[in-house]
Amino acid sequence: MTAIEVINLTKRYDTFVAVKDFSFSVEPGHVLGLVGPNGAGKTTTLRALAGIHPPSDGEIRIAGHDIVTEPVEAKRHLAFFSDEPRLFDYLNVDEHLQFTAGIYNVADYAQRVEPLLDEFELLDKRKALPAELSRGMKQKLMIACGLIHSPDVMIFDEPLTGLDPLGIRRMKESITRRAQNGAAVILSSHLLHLVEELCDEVAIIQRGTRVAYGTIADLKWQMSQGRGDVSLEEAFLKITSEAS
Amino acid sequence: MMIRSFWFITTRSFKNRILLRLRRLREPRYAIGFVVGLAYLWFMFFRRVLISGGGRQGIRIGVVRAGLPLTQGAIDGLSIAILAVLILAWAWPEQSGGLTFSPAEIQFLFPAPMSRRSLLLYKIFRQQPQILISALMMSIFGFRQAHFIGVWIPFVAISAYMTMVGLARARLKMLGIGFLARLVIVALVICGIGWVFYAAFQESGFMSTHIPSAKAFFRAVDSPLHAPAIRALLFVPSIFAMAAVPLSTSMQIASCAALLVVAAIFITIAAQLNVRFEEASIKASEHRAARIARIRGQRAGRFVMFPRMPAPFRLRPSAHPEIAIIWKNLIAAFRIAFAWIPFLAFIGMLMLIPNLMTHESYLRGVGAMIALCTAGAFPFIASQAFGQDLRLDLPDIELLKSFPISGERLVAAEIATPLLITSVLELLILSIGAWMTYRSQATGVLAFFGTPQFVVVALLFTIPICAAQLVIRNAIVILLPGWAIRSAEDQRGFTVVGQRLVLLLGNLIVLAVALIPAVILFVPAFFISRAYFHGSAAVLAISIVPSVGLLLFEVWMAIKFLGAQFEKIDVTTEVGVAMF
Repeated sequence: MTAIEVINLTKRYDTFVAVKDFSFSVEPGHVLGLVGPNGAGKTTTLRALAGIHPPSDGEIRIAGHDIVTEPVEAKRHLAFFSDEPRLFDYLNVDEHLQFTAGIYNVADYAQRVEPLLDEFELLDKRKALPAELSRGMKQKLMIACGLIHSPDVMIFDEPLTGLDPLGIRRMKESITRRAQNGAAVILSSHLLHLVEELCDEVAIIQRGTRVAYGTIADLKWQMSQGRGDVSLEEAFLKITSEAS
Repeated sequence: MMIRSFWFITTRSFKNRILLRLRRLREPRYAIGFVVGLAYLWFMFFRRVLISGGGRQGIRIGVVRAGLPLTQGAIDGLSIAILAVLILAWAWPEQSGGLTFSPAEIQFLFPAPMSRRSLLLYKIFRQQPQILISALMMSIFGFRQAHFIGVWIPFVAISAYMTMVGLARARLKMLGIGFLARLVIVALVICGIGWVFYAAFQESGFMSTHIPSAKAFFRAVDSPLHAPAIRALLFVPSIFAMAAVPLSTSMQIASCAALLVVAAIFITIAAQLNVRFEEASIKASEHRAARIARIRGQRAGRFVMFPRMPAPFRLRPSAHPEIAIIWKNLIAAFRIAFAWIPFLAFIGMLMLIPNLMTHESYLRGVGAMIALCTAGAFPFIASQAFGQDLRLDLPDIELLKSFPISGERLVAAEIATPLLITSVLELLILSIGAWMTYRSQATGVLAFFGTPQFVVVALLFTIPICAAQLVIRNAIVILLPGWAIRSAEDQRGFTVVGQRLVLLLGNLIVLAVALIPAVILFVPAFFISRAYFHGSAAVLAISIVPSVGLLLFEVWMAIKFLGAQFEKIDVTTEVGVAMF
């Protein structure tokens, strides 16, 4: 079964169309990079996928469940990681994880929590409130919370913002490992080398419209037009400048 | 360059702020808030002050009737107060020389090619609009006889003095004269001044004279203040005082001119001190920002006062999501609003102890009335104090919306915690009130509040009424999120006052309308139980069940409706989440 299926997604704000007829799909074990210039509609797309705001038109299916008609079932399978860590000011690190486990009904929470805290270097911060954590630590906590229920679908919006070099490496390893274990991942980032390194496929969006979609190798081949290899960055710049 | 920068920032900030506020008036929530806020301010303050001048006149008449030598006495009193301020400024522990700048000013001006002197002058100039507004407010609401200029110019001079003393404290520290040494010096200076005052008062015979009246007392005090030594001590402070409380217009003009010269001297000295204030200023600005954030957090009911308060119970990971939300909100309530519990316990003790200790039935009746009135107002107060529900989580609504739980269940779970706390406390206060009324042996209408019938009504209606009130509060968050969440710029101002008034009024109207069907069922049931069953509490309990059930049904329907709305809500357009 396709893990993420988006068919003709459209999102309007009054008369302004933020995303128009955007379609793509992600299979289990695959990583899709969502790239585009600022204001292209990436975050709007990701928020619609996570069920945070309703699409104006089109269909979104997460693990076979429609996000509009079966939101609870769909959300049970996914984890959304926003670019800004959103945490509860009054819960400490441990309580954030306990709470998230309670929300997602994670029965074997006790077995999962220690490795996660270790993976994200939060073991010695267990009793700290968000106000006592740095921006990077908050980001790590938010990611750890999202991973506690081992989601089948993971949606990352700029996942490396605020992380230190070790954190970035661990995050990349974590995404790759979870994809290898069968999770479908969407990753939105302006760091094209990261997208090139982690993603199997890429969708380029500009002014709300999909301007390119395919495997990274295909896009690069298309853009090089037989004149040798190009980087994803060069391909991206060419595609977006042609589209505008 | 400095004056140009100051002028540019001041005029542009002012212009942009006004434009922003005017542009916002196109949105109904701001337009309505503006109109209501303006009306409120007009009726509460300006009408009284500008048309009748009542308050100030009243004070003036009172003072004159007391036989006080008004102007000269005020000048003397104010001079002494200003002298104290001028001296105590040197005893302030802060000695880093830090001046508070805004984060943007630090970002743009500190690395700019500006001398330290220019930066200092910029800071002093930048304080002026704020001083101007404060002076304007004070001259409207208090010192009208100062004709504004008499408040404004002394404020300018005092602010220049404070800046100079702040930098001088830092310079003294660099010279090895720290806080303790300054404290000793200031203490010695105060002792010296105290001795001069003492000697003057002793010489005037104040200590040995019998003073028959208040008028005589003030005359006796006034006389030694004219001694040459005291006049010399109060010379500079009296210039400030004579500007604010002028004996004549010419004297006020002269005082203001002198103060401007004094202020220029203070600024020149401050610039000459050449203290490296940049690093300390960054720290001072950070402290100020943290303090403002804390105050805003407290006002919004988000400040975590007891961060180490343990969780009330252990959450089983396999529990329902609703339990997880209740658990989370209980933690929030304990860590944010726990201070209310000892406060309420204290109020309860104040009501109870006199009641237990007195045998006077009317005193017991007063205590009972206080308890019952508190119980009546408590659902409103508590729904505000214990707002650990969707109101608290609104900034994290994006996170809530990603949870695998339906809107209806989420709304119900969010409301459950404040409902639990509010209902328990309300029942406690009602029980105390009923018991105190019973003990007071009250007669007439009040006697009903000490009967088993009242206890039955209270027990059955407390939860639905508290729930209805909480549902209304949470409905504002879901249906009008733009009214419930405010940006940092929106924390103050009469538009916000107006919005709060509209919400309060709306709250009361909706609650009243929600109660009407239940009241229609309650009234006949109540009278039937009284007329035909001798007011039996058991019959009353049974007969008002439909009324309670109807209210609960309304609450349940409202939760269902709000849940559906929560699922539809588009946070991006409503609460200003970044769109792309």
